[in-house]
Amino acid sequence: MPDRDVSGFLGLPATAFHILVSLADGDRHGYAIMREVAERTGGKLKLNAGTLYTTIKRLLSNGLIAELGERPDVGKDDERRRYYCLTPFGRKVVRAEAARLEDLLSMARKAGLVPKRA
Amino acid sequence: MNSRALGFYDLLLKLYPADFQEDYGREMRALVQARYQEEHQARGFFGLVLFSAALVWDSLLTSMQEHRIMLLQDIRYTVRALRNSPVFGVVAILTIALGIGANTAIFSLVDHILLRPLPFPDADRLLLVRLTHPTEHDVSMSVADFIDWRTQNKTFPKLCAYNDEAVTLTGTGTPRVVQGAEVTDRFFETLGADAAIGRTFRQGDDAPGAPRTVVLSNALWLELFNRRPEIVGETLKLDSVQYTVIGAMPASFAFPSPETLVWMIHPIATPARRGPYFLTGIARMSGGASFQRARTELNSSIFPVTALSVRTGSKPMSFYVQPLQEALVGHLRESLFILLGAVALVLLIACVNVGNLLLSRSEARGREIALRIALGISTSRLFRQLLTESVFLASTGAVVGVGLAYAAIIWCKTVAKGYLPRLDTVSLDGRVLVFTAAVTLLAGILFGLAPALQAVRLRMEDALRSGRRAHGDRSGKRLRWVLIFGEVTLAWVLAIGAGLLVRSLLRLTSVRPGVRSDQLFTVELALPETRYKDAGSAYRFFGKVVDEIGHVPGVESASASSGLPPDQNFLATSMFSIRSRYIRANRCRLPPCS
Repeated sequence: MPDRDVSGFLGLPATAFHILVSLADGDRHGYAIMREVAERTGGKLKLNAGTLYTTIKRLLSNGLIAELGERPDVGKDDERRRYYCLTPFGRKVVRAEAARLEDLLSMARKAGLVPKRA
Repeated sequence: MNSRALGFYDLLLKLYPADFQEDYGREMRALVQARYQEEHQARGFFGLVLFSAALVWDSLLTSMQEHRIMLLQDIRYTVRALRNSPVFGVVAILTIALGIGANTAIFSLVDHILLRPLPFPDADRLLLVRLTHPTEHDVSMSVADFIDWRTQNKTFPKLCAYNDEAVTLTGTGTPRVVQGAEVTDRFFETLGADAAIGRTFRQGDDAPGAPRTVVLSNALWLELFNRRPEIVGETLKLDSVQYTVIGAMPASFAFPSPETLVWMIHPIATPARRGPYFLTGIARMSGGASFQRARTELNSSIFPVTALSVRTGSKPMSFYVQPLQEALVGHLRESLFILLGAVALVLLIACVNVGNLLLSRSEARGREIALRIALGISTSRLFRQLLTESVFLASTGAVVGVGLAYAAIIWCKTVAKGYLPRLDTVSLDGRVLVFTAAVTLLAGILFGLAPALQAVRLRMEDALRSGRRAHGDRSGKRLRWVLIFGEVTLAWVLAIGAGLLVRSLLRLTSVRPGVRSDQLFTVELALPETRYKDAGSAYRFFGKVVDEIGHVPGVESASASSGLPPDQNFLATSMFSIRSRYIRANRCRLPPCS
């Protein structure tokens, strides 16, 4: 299978980017994704159910994330919950997106729009 | 999370497409329950209010987004499918275009002519006032009647009278006959119309001896003065009388008819005799007054004067009052609604035809549908996809149909000019297009419903085995027969209606008017009363004209008349009042002098 081009996905919507980042260090179910995003953003972004699951659906259909066949913590959590993981292609996309954002940020820094890192 | 809040969220979940609900509904519900507890613990009631508001907004926004995405997917799929069978697509679209186009065109006529209020402020308060009599229904008023009405009026805050009058315009190039209206002083005030430039008539402008003034239509203002604002004080010669221009009306003002180019003040002086009868009255009711009460009051207050002046034995005349809109267009209501019904039947036949085509096609697509079911498409998703396909077909047909309707309206404006009132206002505007959109949606669902239901009823196993067989085949045939029966019935109704119309037309054309109209040419002349003051001078003028035309090479004979057959000759004085007796002009038999 030829390598898919990530460039078509760059400029990811913020919600999609946050979900991909939250799955970068482990598989999670929807509620855990929401919690992780909220913690990471200091409570500034609390994803609502509609936004979260319509984005998950889109990421699944584009092959950026995948649904796990087995639940990692059987018995510990609600059986209604489905777990999602980042696919290798999704990882490539989120890396490319992070790099793109980094480039943009460094440009803004050079222009004196963002304080330089200590 | 209490059960009421959870029930409310279940309702919000129903906003999403069925497939989405099935895939994520349970998880979303669990997530919302958990968030609800969190917000309640962290921020109490205030937190719950904010969370609920955000939840509703999020659900509305994301569900609409899901529907939009699904719709686009379905449309893409439909376009691909239509590309594979272009003949089917073209036939279906043209069939629907015909039905929707006819409905759009006729509805635009019905809406603009019948349903919309007249273009005057509080148009529902305007009444048309004429006279009526047990044997002579709907008669114009005389100047004497109008004076009686105006002086004794206690019912209406504003009233006026007018008379359509063709006049000869001279002094602006070639003399020509223009359509005008003689009006009393409060004509524009009663209708609630203001001038675009200058002013309209004021109270007292119609007093005997007052200057002869005229208001121009927008069209004549453009033609004669190129819409120059400095027209007040200019003079215009109409029927050899000098009129002073006091203003011009906006283009939107077209009363009594769109052809009216000038409104001349009609001096109201007490006449020597009761007739002639040529004025039509207009009255504006006060706010809150009812039509019935106005009619009763009018007849009870003015009746004695009118009764004294015009009588047939003991049966007096009375005022005949109608809402102005009803008077102008009421006679068309029945025929226009019949026409709307007929085109609705045409659309139904078109729907049945396309439904039949879709049904045949869905059977031919049995394998494809079965494969899609095997690949996991749900029944509801398949049903939705097939309905989208039919609504898409109807919408494409509607686009073509609107083009057809536009052409039909232009054609109608050409051929029916002068026959249909308010025809100049007919157009394809937003309101008509909303009707078209509703009809399109309805038609799409109507002709798509049966084939879609039929398609989803196919059992996957059956269809996979033979594509089109057994149960699907039998019920498909049955459905097709039902559609064909419905179509034939509708076609019969239309054919009988059309046959009756043709029979009426044939009968009308076979009526012998008593004259041979082939090889006949007519010309209309209006003589100014100021130059031809008595019947003798007018008679001599027409005698000369007839004589000269008779000598033109190729002319066999020439004649003059005050009206053309088969209509009755027009007589301004249609009634005579002789010693308080009322006699109709065309029935008048005077005893020979002894």
